[in-house]
Amino acid sequence: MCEVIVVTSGKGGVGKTTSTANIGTGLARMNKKVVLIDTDIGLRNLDVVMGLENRIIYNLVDVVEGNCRIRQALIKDKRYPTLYLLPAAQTRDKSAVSPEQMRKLADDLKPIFDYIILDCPAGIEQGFRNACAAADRAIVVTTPEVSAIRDADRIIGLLEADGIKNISLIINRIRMDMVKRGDMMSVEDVIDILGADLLGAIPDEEAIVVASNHGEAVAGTESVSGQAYINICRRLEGETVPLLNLEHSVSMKKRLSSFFKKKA
Amino acid sequence: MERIRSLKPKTSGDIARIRLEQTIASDYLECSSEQFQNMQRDILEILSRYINVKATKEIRLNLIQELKQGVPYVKTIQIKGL
Repeated sequence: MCEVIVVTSGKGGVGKTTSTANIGTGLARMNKKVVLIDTDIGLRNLDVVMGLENRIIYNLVDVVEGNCRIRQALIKDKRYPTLYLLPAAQTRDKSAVSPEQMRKLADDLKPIFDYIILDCPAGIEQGFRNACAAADRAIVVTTPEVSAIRDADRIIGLLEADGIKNISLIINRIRMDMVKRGDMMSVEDVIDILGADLLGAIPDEEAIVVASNHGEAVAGTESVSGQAYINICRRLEGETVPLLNLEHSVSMKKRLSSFFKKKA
Repeated sequence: MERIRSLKPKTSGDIARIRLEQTIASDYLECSSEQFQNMQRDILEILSRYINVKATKEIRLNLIQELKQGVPYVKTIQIKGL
């Protein structure tokens, strides 16, 4: 049984692509057959985040236009044998693909994979429409900021109007030290306002930046964010996993870093 | 209780939450954030004529809209208790 999931947010820069890469990697680590589709035609990024930018030959538009077979365009991630990427075209724009074509593409891939994860572009225009057309469920990524949450609220409304019933939330870039001080909205505040189910909360960690510098994912690594992404994957698989205690991890890290600072 | 709460300085997180609630509500009602605040004030004023608003911790207004697909969509707007 294949599940088609769209990862979206409305606002740009909140971590859609990073989350897509990490969820894909996490699921592949659990031996699920996963294909990640970058639907951000004209501004592709998922290939770079995953470190697969040098291996692109064909792309999503080539597949849709029939210039190649699907298998030729899929890039296999050598680190995880069950993980594939279908990159977006860089020299075209969103109008190169229609919602019907995306639906057909997903139908063609469904027999081969356990998960099809669509990385949605920012905004609510055609790129968003294309990505949502094929999806059974949606993951809305947001950060604890007024602008990102406002956009997430709008996106949730649009997804519901589109008939997507299974919508869950990832709250990215949480800083527990700031939440404790009262200078950042808490996970509870955000869920309360948006009224959607929480899929996971990801702490704001340097490890994510470092990993993406290398074109790697944090999922499955020792970092707290890596653990948080693995938990998200387990929840997608239907397991009940308690929320990570981000507070403990951050204060522990803080303690360690201040200890080392003193030494230096 | 209300007085104690109002004496406590609001953190920037509290302010963010209030601004967010107001922005989302005014987006929904398609009115300005100022108009929304006026509406909140007016509703409170009218309610206070009939009920003891001071003793009421929270007042919520449910706007129920029917979507095209026939699914009722409820949007809750907080009038008091933010």
